[in-house]
Amino acid sequence: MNTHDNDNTRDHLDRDTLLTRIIDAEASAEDWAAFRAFAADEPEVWSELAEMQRQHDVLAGGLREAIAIADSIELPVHEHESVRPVARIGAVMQNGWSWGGWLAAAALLLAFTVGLPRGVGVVGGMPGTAPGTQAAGFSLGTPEEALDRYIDLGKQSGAVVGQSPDFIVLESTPLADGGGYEVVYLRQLIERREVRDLYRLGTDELGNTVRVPVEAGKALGVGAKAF
Amino acid sequence: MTRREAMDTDATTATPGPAFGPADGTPPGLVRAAMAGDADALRTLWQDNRRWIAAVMLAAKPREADLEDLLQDVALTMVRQVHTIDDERALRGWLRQVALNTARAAGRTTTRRKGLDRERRHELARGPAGSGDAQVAQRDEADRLMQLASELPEAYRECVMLRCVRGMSYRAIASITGLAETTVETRIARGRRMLREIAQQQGKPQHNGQKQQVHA
Repeated sequence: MNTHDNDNTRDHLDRDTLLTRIIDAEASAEDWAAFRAFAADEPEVWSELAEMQRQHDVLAGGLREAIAIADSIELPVHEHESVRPVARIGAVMQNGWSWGGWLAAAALLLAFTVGLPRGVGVVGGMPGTAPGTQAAGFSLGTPEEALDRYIDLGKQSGAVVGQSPDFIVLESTPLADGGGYEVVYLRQLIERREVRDLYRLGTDELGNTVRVPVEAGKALGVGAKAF
Repeated sequence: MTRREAMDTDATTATPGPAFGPADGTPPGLVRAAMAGDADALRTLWQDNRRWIAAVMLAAKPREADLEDLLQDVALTMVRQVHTIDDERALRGWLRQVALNTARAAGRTTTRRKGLDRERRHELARGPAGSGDAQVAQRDEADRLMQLASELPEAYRECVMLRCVRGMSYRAIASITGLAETTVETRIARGRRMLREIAQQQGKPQHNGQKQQVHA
């Protein structure tokens, strides 16, 4: 199809363009002068203008009615919640907070927001550590101690940066005896790794989610999903 | 008040909502915040852009009954993938591509019809008033012109329809479509000419099933 779009350098304003500029209130004094010159030779251009003006107004009214439904469509904010904590981590890093400081805050946040599992105390600054389970050297008596050890070793090697203070609650259920809640949550560890290739999520021409190589020398922003 | 301002604030055809900001786009800080996961920034961006997104979808797949579902799909994609945009200045172009992809993909699958029917949508847009004969006649003609516009070649159809959205200047349309402003103007001019011609050819009332193929 010939779309006649290569008109950018043209020096001749055609009749359609003049009419459109007038309808859209974009016509300059020169445009009006050119239009009047047109109309002097072809008076019917005035009725043509009136008809196209009316047609545009009616079409605009119809389209506005059709798209008014857009005002009732809101963003699915709940889908957004899994993204936001990542952004918070970025903000923490940019503000120069110490990891140790918010690692300690993590314990407080979890305790404050979801409560502690029944029968479990706080030892070593992290919830979920069973009381009185200490061993010589380091203890791996509980999952929390194993995790602490993993984080410590990871920090030493550079593979672990820290742990997010935000724990994302996936499910919470009141306990049968009314003494609290059972909480299923997502814990987020920030890790570091050097890789040769980096991919991000993109969309192909059909709208499908695909992996797209990140251009050499570019970095992914906070919140990007990488592979 | 200029004629355009009067048109853009015409309470009989426009429903309340935000007009567009500067034609060169949304404040970069807002886009950055949305890409970083700020829910308020995302909501603001969506509210500022959802009307023209709807117009693009109508132009790409002019079946109004699907619009609500399609818009919800675009909203979901925006929430999930806005952080993948490489350049914050490309937001509008990216949203347009998502809208086009969503509309075209829906055209290949079974139409899902849920939510409001067409008449209900008219009521939503119009409010409780608007049942007079003159208004009914005008709505019928608007429906007819919408149908005729859907038969324009796609490149012209999109520009003509976007120009009908409140506050959409040539420059704003250019920022969405990636076209030069002069090209946008040319497409609107040619598209309106074609629309007038096929409207004249078909006349009123429209014959059932009659279709007019239009060539640029």
